[in-house]
Amino acid sequence: MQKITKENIQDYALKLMFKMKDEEFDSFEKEFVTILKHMDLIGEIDGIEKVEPMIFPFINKDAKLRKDVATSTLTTEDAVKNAHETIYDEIKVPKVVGGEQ
Amino acid sequence: MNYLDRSLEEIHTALKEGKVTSSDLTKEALKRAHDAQEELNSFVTILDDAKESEVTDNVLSGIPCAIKDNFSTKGILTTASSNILSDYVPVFDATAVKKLKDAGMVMIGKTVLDELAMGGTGTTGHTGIVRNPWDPTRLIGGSSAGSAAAVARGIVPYALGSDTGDSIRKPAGYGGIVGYKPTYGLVSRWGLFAFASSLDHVGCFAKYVKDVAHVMDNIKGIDINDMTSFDSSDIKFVESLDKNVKGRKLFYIKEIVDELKDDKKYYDNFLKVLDYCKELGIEVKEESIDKKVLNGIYPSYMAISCAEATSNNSNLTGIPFGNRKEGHSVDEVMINTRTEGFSELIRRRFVIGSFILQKENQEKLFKNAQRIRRLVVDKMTELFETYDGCIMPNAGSIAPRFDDEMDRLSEKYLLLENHLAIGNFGGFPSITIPSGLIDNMPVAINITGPIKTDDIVCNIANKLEEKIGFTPLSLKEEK
Amino acid sequence: MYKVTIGLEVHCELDSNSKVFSPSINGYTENPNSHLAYQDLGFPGILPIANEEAWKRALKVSMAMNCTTPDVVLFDRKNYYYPDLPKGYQITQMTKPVGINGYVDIDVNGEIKKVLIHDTHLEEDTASLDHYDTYSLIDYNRACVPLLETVTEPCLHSKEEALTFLETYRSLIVYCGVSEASSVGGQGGCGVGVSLSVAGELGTKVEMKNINSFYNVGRAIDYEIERQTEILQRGEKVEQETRRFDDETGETFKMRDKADAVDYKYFIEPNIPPIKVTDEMLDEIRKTIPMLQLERKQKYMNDFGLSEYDSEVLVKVKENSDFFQECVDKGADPKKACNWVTGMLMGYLNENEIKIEDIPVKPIMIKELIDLVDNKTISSKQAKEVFECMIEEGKEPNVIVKEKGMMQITDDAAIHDVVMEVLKENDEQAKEYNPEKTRMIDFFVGQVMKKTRGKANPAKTMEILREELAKYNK
Repeated sequence: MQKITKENIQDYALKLMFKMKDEEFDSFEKEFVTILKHMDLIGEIDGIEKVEPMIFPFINKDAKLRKDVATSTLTTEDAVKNAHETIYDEIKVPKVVGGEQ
Repeated sequence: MNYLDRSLEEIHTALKEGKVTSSDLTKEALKRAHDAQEELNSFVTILDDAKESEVTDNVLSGIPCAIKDNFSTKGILTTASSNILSDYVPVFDATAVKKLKDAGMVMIGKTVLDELAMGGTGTTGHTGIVRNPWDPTRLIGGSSAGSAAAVARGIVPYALGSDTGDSIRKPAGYGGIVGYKPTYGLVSRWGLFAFASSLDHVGCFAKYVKDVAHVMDNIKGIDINDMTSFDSSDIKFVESLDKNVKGRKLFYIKEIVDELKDDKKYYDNFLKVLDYCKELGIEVKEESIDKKVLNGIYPSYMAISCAEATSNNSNLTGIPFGNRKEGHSVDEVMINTRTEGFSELIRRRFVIGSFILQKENQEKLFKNAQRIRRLVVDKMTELFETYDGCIMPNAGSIAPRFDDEMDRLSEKYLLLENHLAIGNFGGFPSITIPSGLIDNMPVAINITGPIKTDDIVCNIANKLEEKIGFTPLSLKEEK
Repeated sequence: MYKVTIGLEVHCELDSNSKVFSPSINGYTENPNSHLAYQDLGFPGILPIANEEAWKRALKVSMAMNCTTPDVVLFDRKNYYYPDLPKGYQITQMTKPVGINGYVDIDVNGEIKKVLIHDTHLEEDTASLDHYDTYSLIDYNRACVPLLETVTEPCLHSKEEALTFLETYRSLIVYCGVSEASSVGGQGGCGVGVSLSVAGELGTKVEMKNINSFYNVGRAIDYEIERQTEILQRGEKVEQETRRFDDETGETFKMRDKADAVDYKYFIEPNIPPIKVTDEMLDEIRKTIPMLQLERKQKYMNDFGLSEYDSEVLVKVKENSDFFQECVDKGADPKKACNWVTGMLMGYLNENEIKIEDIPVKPIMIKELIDLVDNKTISSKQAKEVFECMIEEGKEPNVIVKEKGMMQITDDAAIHDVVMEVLKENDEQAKEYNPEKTRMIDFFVGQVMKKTRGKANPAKTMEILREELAKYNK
């Protein structure tokens, strides 16, 4: 497992689209190390690897797929209301270049 | 006594009889909100133009309430107590809010939370720390800090909150009020700003179990907008409150309660509650759960919640909404927005969450956390075959002071301060009610039951509440 | 020479009334940001609500590709940041795709090859970005539109095989009725992985994403084969990397290498609970899967004895093939039905640029028309006239024949009477009759036709004429 260090924390942060300051590393590390320490203990529990990971609190038997009925609930006006800048009902951002996923 | 300080049913009767009006109550609630704001900082937004609403046969009609600021409210600023949403005005109502509106509630304000609900202290919101009305040098706890403080202070008879680890129940306990987190899916999460979707619950605060029951009867229900919601038409809160609880069975977890034993005052308080149980004909037994598993609750909760949170909050980029910070490129816009929009603590948690989700770490971190979740839930479910619920001290102490530091590696912390997350792991209905005072500060107990037995859990809590006879702060202060 | 190995990824937007995880309209509009629901912009507090129809359509394609289907409906999140991705993650399928381990038969120059399908999964599309000089604009109409991504195993070994697979897949989508042909692989919807190897060794995979047409997939493959061949011939190693195909130059350019591979941090979408996929659901969908293009073509050739050319023409458009099949099902002779459908009928469609659904002709009418000719009620020449009338007016052939008085006289006695009449009137010519001179008999046929206004069955008339003329001169 690659560790997060003072040197690479900025790379981690940038992948999440924000920056971290150097002085923020210490408090980060404290929290991070605590969790990792605890997680190490979990890894030591006998047979833990055989347990099926739990994603949902319980199986919701009422869950159903939605019938394919179209209702556009959001108006154009409401859609762009919170955007900082719009042109012709579209949301404006600095020019997006390359690097598509 | 002002009508605002009474139970919901009493207020309702008074409204019906014309002894008080919805307008009177609304004005009083707004006045109290403003009066307490400087000291407590419960609100992000106080809705001064809140209008009275028509009094109908619905117990909630015409009565003021407060909503945690992570519920989407149409046309009303909703910030999740984060700078990144400091200018966000939603265009739709959360289902729970919509249902309260339909019931005729009067929303008087949006309450402060820990930023993005990711915290348990009520000190990380972008508008400042929330204080405990019992003692302003102490915290009220979080993340539903403002809602808890507002109800504890008596500003509103009830308030909506959300609970991902213990975000309703912990502050309820510290504030001497009732906090309820229902079965996962009983109340729709549509419009609740997601923190950790598999753990998030909508719930509420009130002074009395019965008030909670009225609110729950109004906000529950299957919702087409939430695939995890279920049909709960056979769960009737208010109707079930007065049922006889004789013969009910509860257990407590030995390993956790043991941590309380070295602090006699707390232990005695808990034992006293167990005595009340006996008086009510409820059988209480001690049960044991593997300590290694119990010690895993906190780190597993952290791992799962941070992982889900980093993904859930990826929509906060300042592009279609939110407090955008400009930049030369679209990446710069996102980076500037998120760097300035999130506090250090939030960014830290996101880095941790992202690390946990990394392909090479998932097995050891994310999946092991989910495995602990399964072990805990399976064990509880097994015990629930014998018992109607689990009764536990709500926390290890009274509300801490702002400068109190906890040792996050100590077993006392791991067990006593984090066991409420069991309720979130399994989606179990879980209620916290005050159980007395220690050093003039409230302490509380929690009852957690099997899924979809919300009515039974509240029934037991209601009966215990009668026995305990706790006086809420707002009635104490009434002269 | 090196062995070429190609793997493909192809996206297809699925048709449905509403989007895959939101209830807004899934359909074209000229107005930006007008087909929206709260989910499409990723507002705080939204939850995905999975669309049953989109799921079923995806499952239909999965089953048509002989995939193993999942036991539950389950989705995952793929996490990354991009301005066209409103939630900051895409809901897709990783843990339980709608299909895994399938295959599609393709026909490469008459040789049938099984293309192995790694998986096919349902996901949501992104918003669209419109680029201007100094800024870009975001239109969220496309966000959350259902998208099916199918990934093959690296089992294709030439450009031709790759392109044949893509065409076959496109026809499969259209045959299944889940989308339009134009939605398959368009708008950056194709990805290609190409590797070259010498016998017994594994090659290094170079991936290209977001290629916007099948044609460009072919160009990208050509370019990569050439580029990698040169590298290998120089004795160098091909780098494992992701490259971008430039459709203006036809070249590929390095985007990022393996070390920079994006970790999408997949995890199961917690807001969509697992829903059991029942056998009833699968059976219900299975019933709706039609026989596919290649299988039909083979059936036409093998069972009906049609030519490869005709069979191909018939299966090109599913509706035409369905029409033809229904003619046969109604009892028409396959070859004759084929002649009508591929000839007159498709000629008319092409000429008028319309579809088979747009004309009033029904398969049963083709069968009737064939019967009318077969039982000699009308001549094949008349049948063409009837067909034209049928396609213009939508009337049934029997009705047209009656209205136009085209009914042939097939009654021997009636024809006999007319023949005798004609012989009597043309006694001189009859006496000169010589069976060797065909023009003479044509004269008598003409006279009979004249009298019957063309209704006498020509074959019968000929037969009786020959008989009577022989007797006449004795």
